[in-house]
Amino acid sequence: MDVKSDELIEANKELAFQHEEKEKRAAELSIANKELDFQNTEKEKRAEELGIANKELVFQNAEKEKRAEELIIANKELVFQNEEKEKRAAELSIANEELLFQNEEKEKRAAELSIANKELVFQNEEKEKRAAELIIANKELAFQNEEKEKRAAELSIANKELVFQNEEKEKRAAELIIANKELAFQNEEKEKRAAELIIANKELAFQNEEKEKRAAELIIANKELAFQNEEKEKRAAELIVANEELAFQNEEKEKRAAELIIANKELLAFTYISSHDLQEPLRKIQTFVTVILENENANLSENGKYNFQRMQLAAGRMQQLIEDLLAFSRISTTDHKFEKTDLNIIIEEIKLDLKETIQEKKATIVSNIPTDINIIPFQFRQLMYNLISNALKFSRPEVPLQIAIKSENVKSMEFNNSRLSPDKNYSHITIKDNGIGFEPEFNERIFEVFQKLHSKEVYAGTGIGLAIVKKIIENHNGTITATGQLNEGATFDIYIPAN
Amino acid sequence: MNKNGPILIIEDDIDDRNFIQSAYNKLNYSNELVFLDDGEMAINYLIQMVKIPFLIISDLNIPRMNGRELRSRVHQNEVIRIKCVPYIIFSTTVSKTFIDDAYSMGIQGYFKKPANLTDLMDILKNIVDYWKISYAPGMYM
Repeated sequence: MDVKSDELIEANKELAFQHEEKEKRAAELSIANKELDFQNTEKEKRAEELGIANKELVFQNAEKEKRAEELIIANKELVFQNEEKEKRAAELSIANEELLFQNEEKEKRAAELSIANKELVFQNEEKEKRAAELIIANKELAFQNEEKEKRAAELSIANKELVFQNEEKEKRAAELIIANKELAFQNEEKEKRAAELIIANKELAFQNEEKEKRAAELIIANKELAFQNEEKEKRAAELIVANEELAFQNEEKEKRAAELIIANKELLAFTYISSHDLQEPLRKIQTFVTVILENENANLSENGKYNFQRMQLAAGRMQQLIEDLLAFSRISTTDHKFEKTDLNIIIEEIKLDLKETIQEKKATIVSNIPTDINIIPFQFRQLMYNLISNALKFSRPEVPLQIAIKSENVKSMEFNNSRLSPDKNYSHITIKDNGIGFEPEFNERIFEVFQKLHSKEVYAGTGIGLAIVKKIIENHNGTITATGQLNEGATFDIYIPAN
Repeated sequence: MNKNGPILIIEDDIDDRNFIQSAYNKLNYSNELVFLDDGEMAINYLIQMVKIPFLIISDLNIPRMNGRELRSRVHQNEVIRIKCVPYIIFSTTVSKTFIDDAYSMGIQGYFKKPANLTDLMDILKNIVDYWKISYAPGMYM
């Protein structure tokens, strides 16, 4: 068994060795193949290059054959040219002989020409001398030509001047003809005028005579006037004296008026200021009375309470009085600015202010004011308020109050009132009521300050309301009158200038 | 205006101050009443004040610097003018000249001093209630 395996091992090794050898051989064969492969490729390249070289050689052969043919043709040409040149040489020899003969002829001719030249040189010198003389003569002629041209130009200018002068003289001649005609016409006119003047002179001579007659008459009239003048001068002297007296009186009156204006202003300012200052302590008295009546009510006897109530009433009246006085002084001091105003609007406003009293008195107020009236609105409102509240105050308890307010534009001539200018237009405003009225004898006095017709216990009031009304109307340059009968109502008539 | 600030009363008259104080006391408002005697005292107070007032109520007839001059000074001073709204005149005197003049200097109201405490209470109540529900510049300072 072991032998057998050894053999096998040996055989294997042998096989392995053979196998290795075969692989080496295969590797070598592979290398040899690659080498052969490379050589084949090189040989193919070489074969291609040889192909190209062959083609080149074939082309060169073809070129050389063409050249050989051309050379054969060129040879033939050269042979022909040689023959031609020989012919030409023969011809040239004949021509040389001819030329020799001609040279001789020319030399003979040259000798002849030399003689002819000398002759020509002499002629030239002569011609130059002549030319120099001609140049001098030419310069002289050129100078003479220039002089002549200058002269010709001067003559041309002189000619133009003469032509212009001729034209001017012709124009002047034409003008003179026209002027002559004009003068002839004027002469005729002057002769006509002279004839007229002669006629006029005769007329004037006649008039002079007439005037002298008239002058004589005037002298007589003048004497009469001189007498009258003397009379008038006497009269004028008398008037001057009277005028001086009047002027003096006027100055005195103006001084007095100025003094009155100042005094009036001072009085109004005094009223205004004192009324102001009076208000303050009065207001305090009133307040203290209310405080005492309220806070000390339990501590006061009935009589004490009554007296305090009377004090309160008195203070209230004083307050009203001060307020009215203030209103009165204010009417005098405010600016007077007139405006066209619709009085209906003012009346409606006052009706609203007095609404409660109007209802209480069952009053009706009817107004008919068709146009705007030129008034100081603020003052006129006060006026209407005072008149309407007066009417309400002085109504009859058992009769419903009726107030009628109307206005119309009138001429002063249509009615008789000495306080109005007769030729002016006036607005006439009427306020009429059916209240208690008044006795006719009071119709002026009711407008005075503090003038009252009734006890304050019956009709409260300060007596200033109508004084304010009158002052307002005076501010409007107008007039107011009151008419009435006791228990038959009152009517107020206001007249203020329409413009 | 500061709705919780004091009410400044510029008034020298002792009686009027008492009337105003007693009328105001009955109204039960919480704002303090501060009385200033005259125009000079008032202008110094207004210049130096830290707390913006609720209302300023001024008489016209006050000593040293009168109420008109005081208002004029306030009106011309931009710093205090804005703090002094509302500024109300409270006077015995009511006339066109005074009213026109006062309003030309930017006041917010002009009232006449009444002749009894009830009316005074009414006026004060109206003024305070009106301004309590109003808006005015000092609220945003």
